[in-house]
Amino acid sequence: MSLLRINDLKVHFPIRRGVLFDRTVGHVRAVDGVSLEIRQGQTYGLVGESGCGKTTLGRAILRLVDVTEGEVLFDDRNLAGLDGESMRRERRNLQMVFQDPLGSLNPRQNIGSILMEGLQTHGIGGPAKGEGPTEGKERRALVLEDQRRRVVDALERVGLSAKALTRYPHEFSGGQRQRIGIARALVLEPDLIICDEPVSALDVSIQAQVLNLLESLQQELGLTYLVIAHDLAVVRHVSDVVGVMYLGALVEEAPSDDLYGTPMHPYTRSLMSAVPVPDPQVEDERERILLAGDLPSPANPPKGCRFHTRCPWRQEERCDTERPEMRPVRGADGSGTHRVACHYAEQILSGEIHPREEMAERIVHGAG
Amino acid sequence: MSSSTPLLAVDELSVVFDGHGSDEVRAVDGVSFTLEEGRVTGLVGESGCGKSVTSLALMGLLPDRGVRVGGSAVMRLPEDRVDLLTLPQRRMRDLRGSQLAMIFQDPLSSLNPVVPIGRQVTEILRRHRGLRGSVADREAADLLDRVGIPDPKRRLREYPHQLSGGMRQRALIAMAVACRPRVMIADEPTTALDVTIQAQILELLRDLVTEEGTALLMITHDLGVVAGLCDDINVLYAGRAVETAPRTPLFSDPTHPYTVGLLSSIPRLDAPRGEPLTPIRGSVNDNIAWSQGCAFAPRCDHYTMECLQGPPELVAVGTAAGVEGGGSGGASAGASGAGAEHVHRCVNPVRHADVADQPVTESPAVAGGDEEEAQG
Repeated sequence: MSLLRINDLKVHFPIRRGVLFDRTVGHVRAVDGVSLEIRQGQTYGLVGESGCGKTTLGRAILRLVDVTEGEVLFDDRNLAGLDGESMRRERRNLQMVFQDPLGSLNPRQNIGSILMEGLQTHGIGGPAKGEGPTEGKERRALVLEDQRRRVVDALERVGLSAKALTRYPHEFSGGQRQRIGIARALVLEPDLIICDEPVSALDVSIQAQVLNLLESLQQELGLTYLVIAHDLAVVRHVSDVVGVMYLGALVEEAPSDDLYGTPMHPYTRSLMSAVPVPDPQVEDERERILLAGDLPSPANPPKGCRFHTRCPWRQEERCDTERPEMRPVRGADGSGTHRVACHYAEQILSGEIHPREEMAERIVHGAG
Repeated sequence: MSSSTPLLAVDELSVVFDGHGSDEVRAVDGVSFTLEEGRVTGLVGESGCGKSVTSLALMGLLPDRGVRVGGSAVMRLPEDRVDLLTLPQRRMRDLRGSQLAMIFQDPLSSLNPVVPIGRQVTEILRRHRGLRGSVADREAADLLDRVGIPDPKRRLREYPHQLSGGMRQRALIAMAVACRPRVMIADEPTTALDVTIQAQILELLRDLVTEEGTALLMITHDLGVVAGLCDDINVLYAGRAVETAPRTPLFSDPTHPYTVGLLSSIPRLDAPRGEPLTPIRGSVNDNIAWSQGCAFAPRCDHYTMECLQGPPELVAVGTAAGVEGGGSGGASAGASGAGAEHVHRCVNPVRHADVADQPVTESPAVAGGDEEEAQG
């Protein structure tokens, strides 16, 4: 059962120019037609390089940026069509953990008030309707007590104690701040948590602690995650399904093992081959596909396949003119859950089409 | 000069910052390593372990006041030898750029935003090689071409903000190699870049080392980058090297618990999926001073009371604890010219056979929920 379904989502930012009149001279197509599905209790990993639109996609789901076109179906309600107030109420079920733990915590609020804010905004806590006092001092005291209990509960889940309540963000280390960010998302008991680069600002030893924490929370609470990250190894570690984005669109999507085992899109293949492995022997033997050049501008994306300007497997005509759609292919297990946006995925996999040397160096470093 | 003396020998380097009223900070506390022509030496560690301060000290870029730099860094020049740490600023300015060069982490903030790339590259050529006018321009274009920037003539007229991140880092590398320096220090050169661009830059650095015979000091926190690029590796913790080894033994047979911890904290693309990571407990704030014992003891799973009996020595792997090892100099000239031997700073190292049956003592400083006390 899918918890979140995105249909052909587009987010375009206008480029304005002019002194007297704001003329719109073009659009940055940050997200340009993405469809995906996240199942209840699963982790969906979204990878891509900077500028590929993965963060904008995450923010568009929560409507932190305006959606230009398309649907975001959460529990069969279209979030993209909601007005501001209904969206605000809906956010109780969708929370976000941000990349920069210091930047996303108000330095002048103590941890208690940061965590309470969400509960108060959504009016969570206190005795259920029809029970206990309905208004007045007594009820307020009960509500406050219940909210405090929920906050302490969330803090303990992420490995901090109630002593943190009266402290301020600067008193904590980076890893602890990220734990507070996670606690802030947890306290509302959401169904879906969007983690935007949850560990990229942390040291490796702390990174592992936070990844393990996210995993154990998922097991305990049955959470659904959308993890957005640029680190392929991190995404592989946490995700059940992985989507690879390039220049505003998904290019490949498959169950984690399938995708990392047999990457089919040329971009995914070169991305995987670029990740260094902490093992000298592997490093000496593995083949690297070095892509030439940089990401093209999303304001003026290439016609046809977005990747054709850098693709070592590019074929004449079709790649330059026809934009490939995401289509199911028979992956390693033949289940059809592997989707790829490439005209020639099967031929590339079987070795029928050879990469062109001038587009990418293929390097194998021999020992010594 | 005999080839047995290293190109740059750093011996017992220490950097102490005045605390402005509070305790002074020993950012680097007796680090020794050597750089050789055509070899890559790595400094690895997490933030706060002193790796960047080491590079700044070698380049003479630390502020004059409030810092005490100790030890020596002897560099072999064509005509004589100099200690970089005691050299007057005037001499240092001549060496920087021509003999020593540095590549910084953030290419945008290390380029001047209001000066075109071309002027910034020719500045070095003018200062050190005396090139002027069109000759300098042509040389600058050549340099950009060599580091793989397409259409270099146009790029020379552009400003840093017009270049992409990977381009900027290439421009910085072009500036660093402009005078064919013999020692190059790269401080997290690829941390701000995407993996595909990182792969391009690493390949470029590797070519420089093999073709020009430059000695490269690679400073990074990414063990994957280290495994692919470095010949000898120093793992730093709290300002001291805790393990030094050539890359193969370091990755196949790490002995210091910190190195082992680092290696098991990173998710790997080639490991089976679904295995939980084993992170290191606590955070860098949980250190104790080296004078009291091993700084890593509060976070260590192999900690015993022995670890708190004064500072552990850097000893060769396999030697009994407490034996004065000759390993602190790093490279021994006789060892087939192949750089560092495997040394570590640990009285109770990890041995692969008995990882599981090591008695685990509850650490004194870190126990369960006390993690948040670290900064308080």
